[in-house]
Amino acid sequence: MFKYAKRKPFMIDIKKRDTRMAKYVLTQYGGPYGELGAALRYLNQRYTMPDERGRTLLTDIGTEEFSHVEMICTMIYQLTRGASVKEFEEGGMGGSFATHGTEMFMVDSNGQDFSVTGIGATGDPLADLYEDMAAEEKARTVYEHLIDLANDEDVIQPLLYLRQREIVHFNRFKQMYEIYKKELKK
Amino acid sequence: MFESLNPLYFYPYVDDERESQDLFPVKEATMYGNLFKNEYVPYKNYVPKLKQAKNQKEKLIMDISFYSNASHDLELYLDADPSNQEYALLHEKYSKKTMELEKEYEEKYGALCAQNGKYKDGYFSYVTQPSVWLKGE
Repeated sequence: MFKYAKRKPFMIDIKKRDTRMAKYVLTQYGGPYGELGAALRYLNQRYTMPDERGRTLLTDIGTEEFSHVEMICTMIYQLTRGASVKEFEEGGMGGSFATHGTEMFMVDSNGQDFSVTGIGATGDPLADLYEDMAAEEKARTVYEHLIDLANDEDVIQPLLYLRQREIVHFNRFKQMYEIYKKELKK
Repeated sequence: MFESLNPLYFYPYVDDERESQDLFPVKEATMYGNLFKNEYVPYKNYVPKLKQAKNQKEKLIMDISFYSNASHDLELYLDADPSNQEYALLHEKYSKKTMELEKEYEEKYGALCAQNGKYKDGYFSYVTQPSVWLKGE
């Protein structure tokens, strides 16, 4: 079961509205290297891990990714909170407003719908863990792009935190990969 | 075990040398997003910072996240290496502290988890607690 708590791992308090930045951050919600895809990827891969170590690691990281989905949505919510139609248009979110109004949706920055096509699930624990390391690296890179695009400290700090979490996850997947690679060879 | 690694990413020791492993204190670990000092990779010249708590309520919720995040990082490490006694004991300590602080917060301000909700001042205290995206923590 999942247990929900009304708190975040990292404080987000964005005071300045910025629909331009909201559109960019959206890619970590519904984009190909985003948090939602990460959560689904790991929770889906759990069932074919060789033992409880891999199963638990994927469960725990997959669960953490859902808290990151919430962080990303919090950022989008706070960046667009109270925005006028004109502000949505000026930030390049007129198309989004036309379909979804002020509600966010699972698309990337270009409006491309969320897709599971890019999620690897091979049934091979080593191949899946390698895919997970790649996923973390891609997400880390996207966070670096977002930090480059940001100009508000309130936005940059949570992005730095989320970028670092990708590095932590990369290391844990690599650790698990190396252990399995050694053991499965025996 | 990790000889083929990208040198950008260093691992905590998993052998007998792990006593020398250096961890960030819990507050810094949340600020950096990483409990493991030797795994931390900065980005350009950006300097991670934590917001100052505006009041006692915010301070308490931030303290919860410091201990909870540190405990979570140890948990991920232990998932792959569950025999690491040092980390397991530290995980126990941080988790206990997290639970104590959560209890203190919930008694003072309202329930963070539905199961701890109480009937208080005419309302179910889990619902009176604001959703996380609304403001600050």
